[in-house]
Amino acid sequence: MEALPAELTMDILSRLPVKTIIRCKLVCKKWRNFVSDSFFVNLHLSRSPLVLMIQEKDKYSYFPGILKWMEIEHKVDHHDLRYDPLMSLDLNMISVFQNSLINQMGSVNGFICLWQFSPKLKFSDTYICNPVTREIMILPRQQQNYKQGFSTVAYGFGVTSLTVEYKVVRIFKSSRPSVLEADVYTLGTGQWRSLGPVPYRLYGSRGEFLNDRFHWIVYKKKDSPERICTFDLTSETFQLFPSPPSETIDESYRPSQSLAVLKGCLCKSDSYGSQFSLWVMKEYGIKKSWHKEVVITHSISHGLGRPYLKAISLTEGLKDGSILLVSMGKLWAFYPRSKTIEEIEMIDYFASVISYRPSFLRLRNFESESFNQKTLGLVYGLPNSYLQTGLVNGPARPGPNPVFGRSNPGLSPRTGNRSGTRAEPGKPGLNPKPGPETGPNPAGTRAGNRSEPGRNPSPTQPGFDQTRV
Amino acid sequence: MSKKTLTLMSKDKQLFNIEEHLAVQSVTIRNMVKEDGASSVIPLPRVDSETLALVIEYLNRQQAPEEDEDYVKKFVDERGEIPTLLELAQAALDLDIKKLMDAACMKVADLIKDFTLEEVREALRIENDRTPEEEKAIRDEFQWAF
Repeated sequence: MEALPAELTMDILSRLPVKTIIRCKLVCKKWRNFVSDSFFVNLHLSRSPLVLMIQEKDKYSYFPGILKWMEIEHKVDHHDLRYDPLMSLDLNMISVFQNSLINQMGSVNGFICLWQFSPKLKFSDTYICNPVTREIMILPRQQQNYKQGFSTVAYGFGVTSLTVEYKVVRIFKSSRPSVLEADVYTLGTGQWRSLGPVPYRLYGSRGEFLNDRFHWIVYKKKDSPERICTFDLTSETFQLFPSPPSETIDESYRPSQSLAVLKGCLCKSDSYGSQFSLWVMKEYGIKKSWHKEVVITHSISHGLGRPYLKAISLTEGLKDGSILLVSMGKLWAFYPRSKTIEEIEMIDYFASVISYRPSFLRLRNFESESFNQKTLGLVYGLPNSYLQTGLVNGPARPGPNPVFGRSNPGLSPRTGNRSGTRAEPGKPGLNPKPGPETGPNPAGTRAGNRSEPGRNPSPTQPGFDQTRV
Repeated sequence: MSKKTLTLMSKDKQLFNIEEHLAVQSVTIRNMVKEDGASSVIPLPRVDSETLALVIEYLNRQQAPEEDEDYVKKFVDERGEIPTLLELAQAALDLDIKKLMDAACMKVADLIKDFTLEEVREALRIENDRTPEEEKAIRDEFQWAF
């Protein structure tokens, strides 16, 4: 029996659900290598369907919360959401996150940017994580961290399409009153660079990423009607951007406006009085192409109470394009054709929701010679136990959420090295930077060099046992 | 449109005729035709005659463009046996017929997604090359998956 060509096998594999792919690493040695092959990783990413990452947490206590993995299932006339506890990520179980606040600040190509703030320990940090490969990377801490961390106003996380550079932009209040400043960090470079003052006063914490730019709503300036500013990842500059007319009568009521990227288009939503409207920029950058796509009036939305909606994701199952909305601790679907709105899922009242495209891209590919091992580049393996693959060999595990109670839930720099998935030689995944390839590090070196006790705020937390793992 | 006919030869030396304008949906054949005019027989040493007959049937379809997606899906659905689909996918890969390859691979993925590891190996012609020790190590490491 002739073996299938690798290309064909990888093509089939790339169409399977993420859980099944992880499980398929056990089929044979070749398949295990396929999953980290850059051809496979990119192929999979190109067809990986969006899921929602819903962060649920208690607003008034310092629990990091849970990143809940919610798959969107398209049916003929409606959409179902399917919560997958096995693929979800319990941030509470990661010891470096304990007693701190965690916010998801953006996601691109399967990576999620997390902002951590610990009021007790007086610091804030930025992490990039890939829930699929179970990697998490901590970025170097900025100077004057605590004060500025506390007043961080916005983040942007995206990737340049041409040079494939992943960049994090962090915007914070500077020491001067009412002046915002920005820092940028390119993954793999090992240092934050200052961009100086931000020329606009922006609000909203997550920059919406589209066409190599972040987008934020800004306070109105006297000399310009534009209400949106962008940050170009390549030129690293801020500028105003063509905006739709503002509908909010009371300009001071800002929380009623938000931006989103729906089906590849920049959108701006406006809630005022009892009406919600959604503007879509049909042609990117063309002011005239702003089109008012959706109006939800009180007669449609009375079930929602006061309509305070944030459009988050346009589902693609229907030709007339229904929209997912987050409001009042619930997820709603709006169907433009029938002009109806339907509650499809209860979520936590303070939950934040982002669209997330699962991928097998590896954070460890960002390691380079320039990595200063003392200050950055801690790539941890997440606890093995939180991630499970499809249990196709047997019945589903009984009981609720069995994953988190298993052994070694703590996060340790050594956990990852035990995981064969990370120590594997062979082809690396997508090489995020052009230039000579640095081979994957032998597994043993990382733990020794990178463990940095000071980074762990609570090494004695229950469930964390550095020596055991 | 030229009505010129090409002859394709399968692995088992069977000959199939197909109009050139239909055959060039295959990028591989299109390139061959461009290079040497392909007046002679085009050999396809990796495609058996049963599979080639299917490919020819697919290439000869007379579908309106808007119905093509549905047609391709139905075409592979009707041949829902994994060995047939794999032959078809491999032929589509060799001949560079993207739509057919996509549909066949998608169908295989749909069929195997609930298989056990052993069933996956069997269906996709894979030998389990792990030693019992390795197998055990992996099972221990991924114990939650079993």
